[in-house]
Amino acid sequence: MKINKYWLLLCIGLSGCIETFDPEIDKVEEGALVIEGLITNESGPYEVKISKSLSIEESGTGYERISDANVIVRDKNGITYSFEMTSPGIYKSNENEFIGEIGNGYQLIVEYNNSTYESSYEEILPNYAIDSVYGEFEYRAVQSETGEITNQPFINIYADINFPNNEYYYRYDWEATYKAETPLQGSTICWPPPINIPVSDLDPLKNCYINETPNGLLRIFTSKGLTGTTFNKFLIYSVNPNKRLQIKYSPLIKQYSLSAEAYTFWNSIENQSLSGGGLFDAPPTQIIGNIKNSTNDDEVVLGYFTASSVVNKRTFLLPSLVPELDHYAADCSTVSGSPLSPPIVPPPSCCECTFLPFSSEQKPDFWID
Amino acid sequence: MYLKTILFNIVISFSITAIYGQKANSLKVSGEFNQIELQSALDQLSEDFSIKFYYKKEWINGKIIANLSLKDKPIQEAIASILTGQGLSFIFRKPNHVVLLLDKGKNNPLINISKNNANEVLTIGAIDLTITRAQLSGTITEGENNAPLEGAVVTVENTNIRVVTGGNGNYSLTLVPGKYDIRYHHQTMEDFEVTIDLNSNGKLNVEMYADVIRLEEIVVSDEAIDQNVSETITGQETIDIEKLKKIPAFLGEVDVLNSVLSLPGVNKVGEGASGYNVRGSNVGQNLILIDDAPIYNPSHLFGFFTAFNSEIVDKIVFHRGSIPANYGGRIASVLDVSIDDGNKEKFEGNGGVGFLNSRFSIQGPIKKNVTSFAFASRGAYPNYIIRQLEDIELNNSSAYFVDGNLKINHIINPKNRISLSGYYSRDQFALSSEAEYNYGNKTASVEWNTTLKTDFFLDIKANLSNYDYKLKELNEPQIASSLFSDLKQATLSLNFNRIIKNHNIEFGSSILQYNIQPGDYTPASSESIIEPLSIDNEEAQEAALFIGDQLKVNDNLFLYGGLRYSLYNGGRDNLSTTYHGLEPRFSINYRLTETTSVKTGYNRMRQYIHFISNTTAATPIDIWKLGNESLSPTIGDQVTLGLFKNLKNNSIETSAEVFYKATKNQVEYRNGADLFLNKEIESEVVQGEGLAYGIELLINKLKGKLQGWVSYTYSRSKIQVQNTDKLLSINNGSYFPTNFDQPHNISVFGNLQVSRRFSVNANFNYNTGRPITYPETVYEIGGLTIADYSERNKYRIPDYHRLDVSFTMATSLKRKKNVSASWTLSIYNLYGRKNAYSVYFKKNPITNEQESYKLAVIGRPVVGLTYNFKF
Repeated sequence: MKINKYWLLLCIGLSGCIETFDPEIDKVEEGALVIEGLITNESGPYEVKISKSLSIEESGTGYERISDANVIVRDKNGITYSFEMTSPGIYKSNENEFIGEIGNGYQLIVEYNNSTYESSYEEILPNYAIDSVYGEFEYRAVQSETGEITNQPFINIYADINFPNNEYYYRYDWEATYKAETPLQGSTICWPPPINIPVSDLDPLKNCYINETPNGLLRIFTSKGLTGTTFNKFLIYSVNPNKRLQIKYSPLIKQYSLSAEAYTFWNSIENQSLSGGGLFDAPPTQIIGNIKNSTNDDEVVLGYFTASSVVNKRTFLLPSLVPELDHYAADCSTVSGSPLSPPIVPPPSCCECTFLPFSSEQKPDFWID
Repeated sequence: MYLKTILFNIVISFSITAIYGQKANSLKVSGEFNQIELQSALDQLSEDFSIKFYYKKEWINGKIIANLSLKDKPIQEAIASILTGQGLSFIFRKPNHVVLLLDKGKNNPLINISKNNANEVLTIGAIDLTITRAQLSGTITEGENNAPLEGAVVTVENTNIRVVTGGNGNYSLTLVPGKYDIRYHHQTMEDFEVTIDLNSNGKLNVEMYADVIRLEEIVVSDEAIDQNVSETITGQETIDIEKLKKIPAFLGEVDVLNSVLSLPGVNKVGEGASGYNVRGSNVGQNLILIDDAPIYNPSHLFGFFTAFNSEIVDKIVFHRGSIPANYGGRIASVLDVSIDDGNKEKFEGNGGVGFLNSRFSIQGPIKKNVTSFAFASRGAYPNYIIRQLEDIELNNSSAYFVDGNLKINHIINPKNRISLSGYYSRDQFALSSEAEYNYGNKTASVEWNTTLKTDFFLDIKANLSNYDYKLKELNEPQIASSLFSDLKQATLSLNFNRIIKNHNIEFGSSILQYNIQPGDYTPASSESIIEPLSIDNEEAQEAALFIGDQLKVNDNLFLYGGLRYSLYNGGRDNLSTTYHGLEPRFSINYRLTETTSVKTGYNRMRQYIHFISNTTAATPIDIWKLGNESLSPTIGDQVTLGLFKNLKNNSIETSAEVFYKATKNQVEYRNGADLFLNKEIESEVVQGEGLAYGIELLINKLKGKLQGWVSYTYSRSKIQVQNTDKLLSINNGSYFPTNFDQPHNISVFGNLQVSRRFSVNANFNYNTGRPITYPETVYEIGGLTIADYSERNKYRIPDYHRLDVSFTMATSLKRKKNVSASWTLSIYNLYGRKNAYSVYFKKNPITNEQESYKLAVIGRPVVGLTYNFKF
């Protein structure tokens, strides 16, 4: 609720009155079962994750994984596909045996601890091509926690999406790759004596490809209540263009079809994550998905089993999109404060791009120079 | 002919210190009266000594005081001198009433006041030996503005006869001809006592005057105000507006609802929450009336200001116990606010200027003593402060509100009076360029009071009320939307009031019509591709018949019994759903001793229109939903039992009261309810059984330099929502605390009159933190950490407490000044407690842990300075 935000702002404006607070919360000995699964019409393997929820005070310590469950997916025709555990709590299908089909319905069945947990049937609904994906640059005023306001550069990644003549529900995911070089590529300045790297190993022309995926993105869309059949300029995500738009940046947008129930579920999660728990917010409640214990209705089972079709759209963004940017200078400066002292040794990632996180020298198949 | 300036020939000297604590009859008058109109002299005495003269205009018209010199004469002697040779004598009544008597008057058929040897007896009616019963009737008005005084008690001393005036101020007593002491009493007025010799039917009209600070200067009343023990109807409070003005207010703006909140059993969920909860009921279960027209949103700026402008409020009556049968439609309480009729004799105005808000009012005669008006307006302009805040979103935001009242009162003839009243309010606020809220109330009411017979009165009332809001969401141009909703209510009612012996019977009927546009959703920009959507209009009718009787059985036993029958037609399909039922009410007041009474009461109320909200506090865009086939009426039953005792000559009131309330079909939102633009809103709510009980203790000191009260309440409010469908049950169908269950509540208020010009007020509140749902566990899906909120309202936010103080300094007490003014400095939240407004959970991106935060809206002292003036 927007009013809440108003109060929140008023509060910050007047007296800066948010502080951490440690309420006493009962410890929950036995967490609830959390089951999450996704099958699509793309080739697998598909993954089902089974874990237990964790007492809030222990959050951050890692979830208990359930490894002794039996996991199968059954389609509307009664054909079953079994999942094998590949690592604790993670169960995978056989990619050669099982590919989801649009129009078919699927049910997840998990046997664990003498109980059977079943999802409702989820149908893979059709999906419609994304017309285009593009980026736009903006300077956005950002206020830090200390109240300082700075203009920071962003590129916003948008999609023009389609939803012919009906109610459609989509969820978005993305992954991106960018080509990067380091400002001091091939230089030995990052490796002062006694570390001696053979000069032959240093390639001043080397480029790397860096992959990134979002950290917990939740972006959903519904055409319900909209006129027409397209929605232009739907914001998928925003990132800082520094480094990314040095040479070329390529986001891939993945559009998953959702059932109305799945949309409702994710929408509840989204609302809850936006809620500030204030007087004008709907107080948060437990979010129940589509999985339940088929013999004990009272047991709470968290999570959702989703069946989606997928549409992908990739684009390439060039540095011309953004005004001149200071990609590396600050991080890789070698200039020390005084002319008499020796130069500062920058981090290795300034001299060798393979030291950048998630970096690979291997040019991806889709990459177009 | 005689210029007003001549008045200033009267030089009246008195010493301030001598006056305080003295009775009027020991005051001394000095002055030179030279060719002064008698009328002017009396007016001047009246003003300077707060003496109320009672006389007929024609007795003194044109009379002149030729030449008179007074020096330090006691006031009674002074008045006697002034009246010498004018054919007038007088009687003096405590504390400050002077009744003039026409020495040889015979020409007044109704009031035949003559002086007899007892010097202080009014003779009423001609001697008629054929009659065995005579009737004394009349109208009690407020002397300041001639407005009829409701709730005035006329007691015949040493008998069990006692009547209470209705809305038109009329009273009527039937007595055996003879001599009686009659006492006129009203909670907010100074008592008036007179001895009469009743010969046959006659009329005695009485003007009563407020017991305000002005009077305290010269009067120490030895007359008891024993409302606390004598009031028959339990749970009824008449709020003292003068006292209300002393309660320190946020930014110095007097808050009518604040006074209600200070009563035991009334609370609020937090800073900035609009509305209030009465004895464990929700915000939508309070009926709030402004001159009989209901107000659907009683707050401005989300609850920091109330809808009522205190400058023009004449009277506030709050019912939370046995609600009289003429009220209905909400189960928890009735707040009945009356607006000033306007001064019938002279113009007066007042106002206040503050940092963020200002107010102004003016009232006066249109035709002297016949038609009067009152107008008031307020506005708040916090924008310039908002813009200066160093916050990028906030300084692009804006907010304001305005409201206005206008009332016109016209006396057609002594038996008929008509009044028109209107109210308008509008709030707007815009958050950056993202959202815009705009909402307001409008009401119009007309009331016609007529006297059918000397003891039989009729009030005909009609009113219209409207609440509308518009919410614009603008942050994404493609889906920019505007949501408009509108609620209209029209009411017509007839109220008869018959006084027969010791019965005071009110009966009548009412009919009302609701029309609601629940939501009209349209695109708000040219690029918007939102599909327009309009939820079907709703309509319903509600009718009621009622009868109630206030009865004095004997000196010690007072009863009230009432019965209301309400009938409702509504529903999705052409008023196809009907609900109806009886709503009995009664209360008993048994006086154990002169100063102690036991009261008990029961009432049942039915509510057909439901307030649907899934937020902790009410918002301007909450939903009012008419009952239909799947939404049954809410029925509230309440029993109360209380002990009331007055101490120290009625200067201290104490009470202890317990209540138990059971509510059927209480509306609660289901888990995860989506109320926004929902065509099937019924499917998002569930109906449960509400239960509330508690004990309320109060000590109230009414007199002296230090006045104030201490109240403590322990109460619980719970609800049970059971359903065969597990998803529609809440907390597995067991009782759980409501959002406003705040068991311990302490309210302390003190007013210290340091000197005549300077006063200090303090106000302290404590209550248990409201219930909240905390997540007990977290889990992860889709790469997101999600908090799992299990049991609703299992936890509580930290306890709330706050101290406010204010200092009022009057600029001058000189009576001749045309403008009197005062400065009020208020400090809200003096010790700057960061009271939790909410507690919420967010994942810390660095540690990956779920962390909890406390948000306090006003976590520091807020200072307000207001300049108030009166002319």
